[in-house]
Amino acid sequence: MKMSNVRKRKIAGWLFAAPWLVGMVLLFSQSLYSLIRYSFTKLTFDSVSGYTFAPLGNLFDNYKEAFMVDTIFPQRLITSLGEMLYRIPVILVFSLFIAIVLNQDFKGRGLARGVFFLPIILSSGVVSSIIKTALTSMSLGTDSSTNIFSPTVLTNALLEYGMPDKLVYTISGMISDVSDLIWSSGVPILIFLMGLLTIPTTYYEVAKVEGATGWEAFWKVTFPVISPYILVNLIYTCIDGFVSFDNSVMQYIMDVAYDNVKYSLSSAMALSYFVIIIVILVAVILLTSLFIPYGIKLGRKKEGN
Amino acid sequence: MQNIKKRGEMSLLYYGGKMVWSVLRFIFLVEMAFIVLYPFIYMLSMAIRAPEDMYDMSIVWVPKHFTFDNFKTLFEHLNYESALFNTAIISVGCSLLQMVVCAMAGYSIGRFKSKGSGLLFGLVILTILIPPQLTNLPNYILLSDFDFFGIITAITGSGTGINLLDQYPTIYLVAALGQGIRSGMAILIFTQYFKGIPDELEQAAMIDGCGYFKTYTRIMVPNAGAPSLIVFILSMVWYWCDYYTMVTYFTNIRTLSVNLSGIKTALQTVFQTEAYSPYKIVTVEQAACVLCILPILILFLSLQKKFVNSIINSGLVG
Repeated sequence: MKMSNVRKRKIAGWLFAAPWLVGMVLLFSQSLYSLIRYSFTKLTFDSVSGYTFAPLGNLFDNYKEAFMVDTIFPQRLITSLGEMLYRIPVILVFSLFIAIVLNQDFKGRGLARGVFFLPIILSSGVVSSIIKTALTSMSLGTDSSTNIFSPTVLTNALLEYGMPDKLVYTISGMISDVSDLIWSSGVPILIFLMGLLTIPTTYYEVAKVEGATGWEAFWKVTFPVISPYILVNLIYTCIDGFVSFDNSVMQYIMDVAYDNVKYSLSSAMALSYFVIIIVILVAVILLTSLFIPYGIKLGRKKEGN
Repeated sequence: MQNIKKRGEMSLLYYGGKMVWSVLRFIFLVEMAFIVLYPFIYMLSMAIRAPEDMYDMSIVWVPKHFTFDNFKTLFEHLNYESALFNTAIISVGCSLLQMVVCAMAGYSIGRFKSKGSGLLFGLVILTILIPPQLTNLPNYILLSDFDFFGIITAITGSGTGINLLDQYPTIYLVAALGQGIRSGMAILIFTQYFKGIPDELEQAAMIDGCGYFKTYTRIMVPNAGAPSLIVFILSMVWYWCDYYTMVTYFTNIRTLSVNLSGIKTALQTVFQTEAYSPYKIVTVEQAACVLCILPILILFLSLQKKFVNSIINSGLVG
């Protein structure tokens, strides 16, 4: 009787995942397979027969070329990894802060939420590229491709009023950093906001009655409930940063694929890049799970019966 | 006793602090709003001005010749209506399917612990990791000549599979199989949410005689308002703004972002006979951007009111 219950539970679990698993086998596995296959062959396009595969002399030729022959790829890889290392925690803290502010009760909250939702729409798709070129042609844009707003006007104004140079440049640097942050933390803010919404208000009432300060309530109530979503946002910001097309490594991979028409080499680069990202991600998740209760239980926990 | 005394002393400090905080919050939000709204206001200001206002250097934000001509051009010459209709049909349908399927997958990964669930979690991360642009070519080849492990060619007897491209059902099917745009993120959100639901809730339902599926539909789904809403909204944005996937799946069915990407050349052909003005193109282009963004922004502003409701529900049950 007991055995059959466990069995039933197992079957139910697989059934819930069934549509997605079918999709994984049917579509995802196939495109992953082709990606892997391209990386181990030489794929050439011509106008007559479409595309043809040619076997490589050595199976790992594409990978060798990516890391040994190509000088730009490994170099860009290292700079982009270093950059992400400090960007991720900053984005996470910033978006958690904004989410907490947006969850507070004040007039015009709906509008404020709308404002922080805008970057998600504006920064995805064709609209962003159009607005970027338009603002750059107005000579208000910056050289950086991720930054839409630049504080040039403000800087000039402050300098005219006779503020010390150093102070002005510090302020303008901070502003452009913040605006850069906003554009990449739209989705994390929304996810944190959702996590905050799942905390019953009674928890805070209890904390208040017990005499907890706001700071204590944050660490004892908010943080444990929100921590599973820190994992979601960690994965999102990490992948969004690494795989977005503003990333120098991704740009290079796409250049190799479409400008130089070396699809096989580009596949090899992309695959090794993904493997590196996954290794980093797993390491980061395991390391931080020592401090942050993500809800990952290593090994099987006993079923509660 | 000590606590009560402490709180009494703190009350003045408490209210003073609250006042200071709300002022600071206001300043902070206005500052942030300025950064975010800047490109949006630019867009709006361009969209409602007549092209001759572009020559006038005295006009920065508020145009002198207020006009809706730019929007009219979009509707009359650039098939904006049909593009809007296509985009709406595709993104609403796919987002709903994605929400339902990913909720189920997330429920399975988050609550049914087995040896495989760690592996499934890794697979989810893998699907997020590989961007759609990179699987474009493999997907295109796969769907243009769809052959389910050789079964279809075996049945029809012809040498090629079926061409599934350029039809609505294809993109719905992909979403229903949990392989839509960034479906991994949706699964991840649901997984983490369902992990947090207390075991007692499920056990109580089991004792009351609910099977696994009844427990899911009666207990879990009504509780999952917040993640469903977020997943729906995010999927809407991702489908609405997507360019690469739409270009892969469709050639004749044009969506908003596909239209928008080719708007410059389209406008040049439309206005060939009239006096060619580059400024006209700028204003119409910005009008198109506004129309592209507006529906999804309105959707968010109307749905964000529901963000409060879900807390009351989950508070009552959990």
